[in-house]
Amino acid sequence: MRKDHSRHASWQELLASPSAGSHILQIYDNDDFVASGVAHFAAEGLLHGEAVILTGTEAHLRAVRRELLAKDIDYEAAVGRGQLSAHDVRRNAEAVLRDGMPDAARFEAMSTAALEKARARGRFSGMRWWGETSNFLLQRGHPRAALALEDLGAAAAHRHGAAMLCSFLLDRFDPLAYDGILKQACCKHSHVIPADDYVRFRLAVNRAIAEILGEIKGPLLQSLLSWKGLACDLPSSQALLFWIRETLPEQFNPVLARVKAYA
Amino acid sequence: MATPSNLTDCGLPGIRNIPYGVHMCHFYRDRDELAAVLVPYFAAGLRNRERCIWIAAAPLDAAAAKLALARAGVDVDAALGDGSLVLRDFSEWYADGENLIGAAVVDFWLAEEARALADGYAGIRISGNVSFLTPETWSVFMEYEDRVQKAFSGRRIVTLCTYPFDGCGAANVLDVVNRHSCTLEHPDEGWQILTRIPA
Repeated sequence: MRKDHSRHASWQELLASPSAGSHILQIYDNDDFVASGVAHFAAEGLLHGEAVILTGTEAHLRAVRRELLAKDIDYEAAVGRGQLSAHDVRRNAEAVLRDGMPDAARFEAMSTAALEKARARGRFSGMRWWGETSNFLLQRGHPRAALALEDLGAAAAHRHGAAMLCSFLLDRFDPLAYDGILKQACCKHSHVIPADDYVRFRLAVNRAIAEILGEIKGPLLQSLLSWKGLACDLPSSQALLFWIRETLPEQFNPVLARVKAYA
Repeated sequence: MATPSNLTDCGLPGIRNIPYGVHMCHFYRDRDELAAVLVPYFAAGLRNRERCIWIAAAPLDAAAAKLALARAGVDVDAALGDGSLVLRDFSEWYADGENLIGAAVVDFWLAEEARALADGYAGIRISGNVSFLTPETWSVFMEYEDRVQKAFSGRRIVTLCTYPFDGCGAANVLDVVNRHSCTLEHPDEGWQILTRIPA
């Protein structure tokens, strides 16, 4: 966990060596991407001598385990030496909620216990935590609780020097999400992984914008340069969609529809 | 001994002084637009007693660049002869594409700065025409731009990176402007500097 990813070029690079305290969002629309992304994050951590905590649904934990085994990671041995632990997301959610909202004290107790145990008195060189508790809450219709939990997660990652990866099932082609949960989720994280295939997504965004808006020059370039952006590291392709939503709202739906068609 | 100024003449009408350490970018459509920015930029550098290093590439190669400078009244042969101007094609400059990626390239520029200052120049003025990238080499080159942006700040170096619109989609434009101090635009007769507002 060393590299400064002020602007990451690929999710593989970002998840291989996330900086301590980073809080990464993976947006997914299929379970395969969750399994491959989380397994990459976990495998790289294990290979670098870091402790890894996984908190997910039973199906996702099974898929991640399969992917780790396919990468020649000795899953059981890593669990046996205390370097890897897996936790059920439902139980995790129940442990931190009070009256339907995350309770800071409960979360603090739970996360500190898990991270201190993983730290194992310095036996491991760093800590990585993948979780989907917020997504679990979101999918059950509790967006406020999901986002509040992200604030607590970010603070814990920072306090304990852990790298945290969160997976969210979100539709990046839903125009309404750009004013709501997609934007809010991005803003709660330090880095955003918006797609499995960055090159394909970039080409789709470039093509859609070229067809609808034309070249980014003159007033468009001025507008882009004066746009404040989101306070997180996200690929330019995804950032541009937020820019269009905010500054050229009448063009947003046609652009997004074409991106969806080309992606 | 007088302290050297931290500002220098950009050479473009409408933009007067720019600070040393600035790392600028510009998007052009064709050869004429490229010449329109680079010829006055380097002519001003030579006037300011900066060592000028022009790494040329299509659509304005080194031979065409030499002609364009001469047409603007620059004594190109004299400048090349005394070392104040270095004008070479990209293909000749980077014999191996892998040289693009490393911190070694940034170190090379810093050594060039030191050499120019030791030779009595006010600094160095660089331009590279980035028309040679492919989708595969794009992200590697953006890492290089990141390094340059950090390393050149506060140095006696002025840099202008030119990118062709053709081949630069919107996401590429955002990548580029995010990795430079400012963007040069030519909306009418004059030039203007656009700067990015940080998030």
